[in-house]
Amino acid sequence: MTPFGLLVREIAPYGLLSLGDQLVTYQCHHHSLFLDQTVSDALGGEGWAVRRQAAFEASHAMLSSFYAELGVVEPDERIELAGELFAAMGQGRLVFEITAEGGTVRAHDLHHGASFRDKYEGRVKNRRPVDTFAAGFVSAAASLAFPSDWGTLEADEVACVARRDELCVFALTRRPERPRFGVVVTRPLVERLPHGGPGAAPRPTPASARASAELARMLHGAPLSQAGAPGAPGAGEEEGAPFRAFGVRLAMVPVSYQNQITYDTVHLVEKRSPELFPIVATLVREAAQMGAFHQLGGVLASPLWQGEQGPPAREPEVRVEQLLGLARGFGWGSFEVEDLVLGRTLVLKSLMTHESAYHAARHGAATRARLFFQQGLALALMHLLESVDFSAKQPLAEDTYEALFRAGPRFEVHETRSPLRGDATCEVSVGLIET
Amino acid sequence: MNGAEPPAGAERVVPTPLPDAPVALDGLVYGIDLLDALLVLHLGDAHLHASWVRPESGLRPDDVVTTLRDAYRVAQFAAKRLTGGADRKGDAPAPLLTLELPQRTALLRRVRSYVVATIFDAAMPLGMARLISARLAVALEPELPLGPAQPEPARAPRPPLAVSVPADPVVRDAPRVPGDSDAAPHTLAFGTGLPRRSRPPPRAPEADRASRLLAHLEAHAPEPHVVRCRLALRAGLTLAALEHPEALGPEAVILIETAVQDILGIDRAELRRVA
Repeated sequence: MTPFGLLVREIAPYGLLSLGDQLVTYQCHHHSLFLDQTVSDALGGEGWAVRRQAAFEASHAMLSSFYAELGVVEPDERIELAGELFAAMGQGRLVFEITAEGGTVRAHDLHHGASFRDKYEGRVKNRRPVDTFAAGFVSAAASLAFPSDWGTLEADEVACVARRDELCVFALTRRPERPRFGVVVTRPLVERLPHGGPGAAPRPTPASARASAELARMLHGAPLSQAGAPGAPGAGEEEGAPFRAFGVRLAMVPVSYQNQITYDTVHLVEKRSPELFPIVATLVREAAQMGAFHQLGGVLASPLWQGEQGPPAREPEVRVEQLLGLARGFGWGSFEVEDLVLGRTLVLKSLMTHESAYHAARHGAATRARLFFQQGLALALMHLLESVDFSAKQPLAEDTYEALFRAGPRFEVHETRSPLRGDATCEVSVGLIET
Repeated sequence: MNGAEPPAGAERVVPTPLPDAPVALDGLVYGIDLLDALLVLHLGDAHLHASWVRPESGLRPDDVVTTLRDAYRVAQFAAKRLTGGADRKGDAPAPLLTLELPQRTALLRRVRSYVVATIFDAAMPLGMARLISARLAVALEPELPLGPAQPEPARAPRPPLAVSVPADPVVRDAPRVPGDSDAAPHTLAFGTGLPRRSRPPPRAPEADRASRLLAHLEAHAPEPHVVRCRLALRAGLTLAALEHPEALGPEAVILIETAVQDILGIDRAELRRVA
């Protein structure tokens, strides 16, 4: 097993994470499933192709980088390392049975498929496979293990637990098409982006810095092969299983994948049906809000966290700093609160986030609001501060999130500053909707 | 739909030159996935005015054009019987003819003296096929000759000479009700011939159906607080349109039905049993 913990490093001033030289974030299954679902809602069957292409590009870049750095050349070694990396990311366990001509890959406990089954079984009768990230990863791994001038090995998911199959299975066949690659957001590329000069990045408060450091220690402070060690998030679970310690399934997701599917979908909708842009923006923001609410709240509410760190702070000003520290630990960015009036106003700013870095690197400037993840994060923070009682026996029940929208205050969010529109910082403002 | 280029070498049949030049269809069909062919044929003599055929579809326009014209004629006669004869101004009916086959779905729409035939792969959802067909017909309408290019047979009813207003694919025209005192005068064709709007039109079954579908979805879908957004995005409708189901036409209701099926993962028969 590769010492995975040593490969995850923070890009210090920005609160971003890199795995090797690729930017990554930790996301929970709520975010992953809803974002993928939004792509399908917007693009129909084309959504699968958009997601798989993004997964292929991101995985190809990540694996290529590792193979080059570690000098891995032989097909068997490459396949083995790919499987280890996939498992260490919390994405699930892969069993490759492939040759240069193709083959099959059996997958166990995939982040998307198993999460979908657990979350929606009994509520949605899904008929389509959902593991596009795994499909793109498998395709990239196989194509790099068996490179050929006759195209890449493309993966189709022929069985999926999300549609009640027993196992997820991918069939690999060689397609005579040249792979397409866009700009991949790497650590050196982010470090070259304009960032407002030395000292421009906010210094985390003590509460934020402590929360960030403790979470980092829990997530990747030790090699994940020691996932069974007491206190580690995946303690007691099978190797390669997603981490479930915080009430969610966590997985490491390449920033390029997450943002490529977001912005490719947004751009296609803007081009084809501009009147639907606000709707797709709302849903992308909702994915972030739902994910951040469960992921950040899940950490603070978990016995694991409270056992080590004690109960969350009662004062909202301190608790929001703890939450921002966790956000930094998950690789979402280094945020600071510019203004907070509990239940009324929250202004959240950052020098650079994973989405602003991706958009700047891949698409450049924008004329419209593009910081959907930060918008959703700010809304989630407001709900976590306003509506969740962390001193309760069970602060986050299964229907807590949906209950927020049946009653209680409604908030709106505006993107007030963005480096993509010429500002120095990313800033969003949440306000109470007066009724 | 996707952003793919139209297949290189798509067969384009250009018939005998007419006084009005045939229409180049490549731009219109750009990015429409699962569309096998778009044929524009004359209702009178079945000549092909313009066509686009996906090369791998195996369709030969010359083989099908006369048959499609005849099928549409038969549909017109049937429509005339079903509606109790020609309408007030003596125009032939202009039904939307749908042929559903295991391999393909064909939709035929009349635009003045022409028929626009859109032929899709069977994988295309019917609601989406109808929407695309309507949009293509609307886009083609200004390009087609105003008068009949060839004289029609004497028995055929003459198409209207006036330029028709394209039907909005989403907002339904107010329905005509026999004996309705708000209907246009019988003897003089004033204005558009649409009923005067001095009182609200009767509520159509589509409005009730749309409302039932929305209610069922909101009661059963996960994350109900955003399910209208999901529905709007899947159906290609704005939220404002969903706020007013009474203004939705039958095509929009089919789109909603298809989207509800996809979101809940149930088939049409099951959905019709419960909503």
